[in-house]
Amino acid sequence: MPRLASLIDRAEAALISVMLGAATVLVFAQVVARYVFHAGINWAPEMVEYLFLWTVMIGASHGVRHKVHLGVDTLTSKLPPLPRRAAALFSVAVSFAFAAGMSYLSTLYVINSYRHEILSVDMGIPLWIPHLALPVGFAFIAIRFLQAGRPAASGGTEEMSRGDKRPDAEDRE
Amino acid sequence: MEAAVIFAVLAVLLLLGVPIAICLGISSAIYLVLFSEIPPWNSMANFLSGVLPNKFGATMEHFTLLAIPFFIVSSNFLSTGGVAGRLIRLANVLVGWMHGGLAMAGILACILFAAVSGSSPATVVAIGSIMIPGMTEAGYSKRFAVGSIATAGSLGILIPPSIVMIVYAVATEQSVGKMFIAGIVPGLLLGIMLLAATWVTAARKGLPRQPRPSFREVTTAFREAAWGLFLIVLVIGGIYGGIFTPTEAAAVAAVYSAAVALFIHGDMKFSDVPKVMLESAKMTSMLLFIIACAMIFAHVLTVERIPQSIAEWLVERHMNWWMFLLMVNVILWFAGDFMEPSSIILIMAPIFFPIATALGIDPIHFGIVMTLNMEVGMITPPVGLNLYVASGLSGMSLEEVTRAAFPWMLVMITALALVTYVPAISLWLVHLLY
Repeated sequence: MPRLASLIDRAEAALISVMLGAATVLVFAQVVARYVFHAGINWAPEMVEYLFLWTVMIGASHGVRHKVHLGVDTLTSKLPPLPRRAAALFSVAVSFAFAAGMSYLSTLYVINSYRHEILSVDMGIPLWIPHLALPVGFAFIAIRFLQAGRPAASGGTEEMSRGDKRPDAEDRE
Repeated sequence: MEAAVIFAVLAVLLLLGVPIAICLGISSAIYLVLFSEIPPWNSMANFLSGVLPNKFGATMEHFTLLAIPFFIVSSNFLSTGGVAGRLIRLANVLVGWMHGGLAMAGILACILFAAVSGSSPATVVAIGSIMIPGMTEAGYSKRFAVGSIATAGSLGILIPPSIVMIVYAVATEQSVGKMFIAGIVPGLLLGIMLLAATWVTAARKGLPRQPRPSFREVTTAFREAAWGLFLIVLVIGGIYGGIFTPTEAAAVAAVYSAAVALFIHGDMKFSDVPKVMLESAKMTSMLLFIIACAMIFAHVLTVERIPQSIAEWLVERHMNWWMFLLMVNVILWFAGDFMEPSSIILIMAPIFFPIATALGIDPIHFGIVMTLNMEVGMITPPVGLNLYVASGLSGMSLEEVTRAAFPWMLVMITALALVTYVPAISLWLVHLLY
């Protein structure tokens, strides 16, 4: 099980890096095509949007495990162990509920788009295919939050969101 | 009073340490479930599935917003590659011979790096990791070194390109190009004020100066830094000249920074690229996930006309534009001590923006005020972001760093007051160019 988890983790990391790289190159190529070859790549913007949708959903799930999601820990970090643990558990529960709810709602959303056979504007592909990122991604996020809740439930006091302002939090905005 | 519920839920969740994105999403959902009058209860799921995933997904299909990940990639290549070091050398030959030369050079290097990167902590890390040890070695007190860099590093979000400005522009449907142009004068003004304050202190304390560089040294430093400096022309010139959209400019900047780091300066190996991309991808997902949830929140505020009713209430009580701006200054300063800038802009802009327009405040000017306000928050305790980054870099305790940054904070507050109440500082260049 730990090996499978680490395999998934590495696959996620590789996937989001490659998709971000591909999106960067695609937009760059579009500029080059416009000025050098006087031709547009008309499917590029849409493709880039879908790449980002998938990157963000997979990255957000990956991020739960690696604690990249920001939260305010000003108050909770000053609490004594027991209330602090309660806050951490509450936080996990709320996050799980939101992610699970969103997964359910976006499933309805995608089914609706499938039924009405909605097509994307530029590429003409059925819209439910790229939008599948929403139900799948939120389901993954929900599972990851459940996993993150285990240490909190078994006595750990660590918050599951990273405090906003620690030194290792460099480089964000 | 229904509006109070959404803010109360949001505040409680935030304080309990729930991730910011989740706080925004769930308080919007709770509000819709409780107060939305459109659907009867049995079709709630249908209604919600039409609003929430749609708004969330649509955020990623907002092409302007995608400039942010590309600027993150570019920024990461610049700080990993040798561009930061070359900008520091250039700054050093330019102002190093003045009173407090090394400190002046540190601030100037922050200004230059801010003009190629879009983030404040990135600027503090890129410049501070080299300059803070350098300054203490040259006989500066650590306090002086850390305070000046933590403060000047915050220029990263005021001098274009700026991730915070893109967030504001998208949240309020303003032009990213105009925001960038409007940031130039206030950014330089604050930079010059910081340089002047340093010079005066240094002259009084008799801090060390460095030998005057020869003309050759100056030209060499310029030539070496030229590849990095060209990025300023590429991004700002490219957007303003209509050569590319902000998103395209960011992608071009990312490819350019990677090419400079890999092929021209050669400070980076190909084997370093995956790590830079993964770091960027993580930061991107974290930020865009918050933004997507914030868009749901903004949608609820808009549909329920919450800001409009606050605006009407304020106008009825004869609040005028400068009283409102003063209130905004104080609220944002306070909020900036607890959260990072993009999240605050995302939460506050949809609330304040309609009020500001109702009171006749220029949207672009208001964006600059918010951005500069974020900077002050970043160096204010208890949890100013730059203070933490600087304390991590220097090994000084947070209290010490806070005290170290205090004199510079006063300079920044003066700049904030000037920029807030003299709209021409931000708008002059915009009106001249557009």
